[in-house]
Amino acid sequence: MRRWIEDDAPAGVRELLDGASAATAEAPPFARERVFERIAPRRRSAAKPLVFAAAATAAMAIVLLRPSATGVVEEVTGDVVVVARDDGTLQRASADRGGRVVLAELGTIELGPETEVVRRDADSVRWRFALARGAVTSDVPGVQRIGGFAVHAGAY
Amino acid sequence: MHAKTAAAPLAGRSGGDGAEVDSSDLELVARARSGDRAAWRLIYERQFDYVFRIARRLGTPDSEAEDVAQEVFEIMLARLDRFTYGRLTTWTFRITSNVVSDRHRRRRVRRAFEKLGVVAPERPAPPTPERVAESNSASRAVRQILERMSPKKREVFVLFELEGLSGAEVAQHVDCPEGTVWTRLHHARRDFVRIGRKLGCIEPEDAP
Repeated sequence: MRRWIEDDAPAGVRELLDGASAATAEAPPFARERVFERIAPRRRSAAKPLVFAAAATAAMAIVLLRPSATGVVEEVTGDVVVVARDDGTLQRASADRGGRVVLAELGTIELGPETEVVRRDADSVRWRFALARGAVTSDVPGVQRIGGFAVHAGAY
Repeated sequence: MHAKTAAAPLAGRSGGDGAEVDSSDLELVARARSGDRAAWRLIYERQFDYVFRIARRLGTPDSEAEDVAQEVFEIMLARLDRFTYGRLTTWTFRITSNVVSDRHRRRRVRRAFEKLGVVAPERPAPPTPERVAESNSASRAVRQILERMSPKKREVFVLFELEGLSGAEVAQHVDCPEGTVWTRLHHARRDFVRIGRKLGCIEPEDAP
């Protein structure tokens, strides 16, 4: 079959597709290494009580979202962090020995009708999650700083 | 003209009649499964560019492409035991396509919530050079169109029109008869133009 964009596509399509094809042909520099570091085997710290064990009985939690899910862990409390992704989900993560956040194969918390925006500013968004009592204890483990932004989950 | 940019052929592929059993892939995966980190690294090295490119061509914003790649390789690592036959690139494509589709779905859900006023509209992140470049390029327009296409049509459209694969190769990747590929491609092209016009990325039909 002939290439559609060579002969039959409406005006403008060829330019669009050629442009997109060229723009997406190669990964940006260092992307390969960055991703590999993130999927490197994790080294967990010694087990510690979760900072926000209180979340087990809390009905609400405040979570500070930042635009990107990636970054470097600057402080580690416990061995688990919550990463707020820019698609509006939360993801549990652990830190590897390089201090980078490793997004885990663990569950996410979908934004839903129970989610309430309590504050926004230029760099971050605060969301209030109505959590089922005791249901998501392990999904809201504590406070970390990631790439200079606080990812904060706590009971209020 | 766009060049054929499918994943580089892997060494050791056997069978040239569509059987597509790649002994080196199977051997490599078996080694990785048994804990051989060098084998896993080799799989990663061979597949990374392909995963990254496919993720972006299927409509992943540049800002999310690394996250998608990470998710794909984590899934691969966790499910190495499920790869028992065929080509690694085909398996990788399926995982990547599913991850991308899932993200498109979440984005649509989020927009629906925004319209309902359940969540506040997302403010654009500060304009990094990458974002500025993307906003000025055709890739942004294509991404917006692809995001609105159905996954099955999007897959064949990208593999045929952007990756330059043949109909038979597309059929292998998406696991359907070649005739189905042509049908999907026909509808995908029509959808691409329709959505593009709706978004103002493609000139209207009656434009001079």
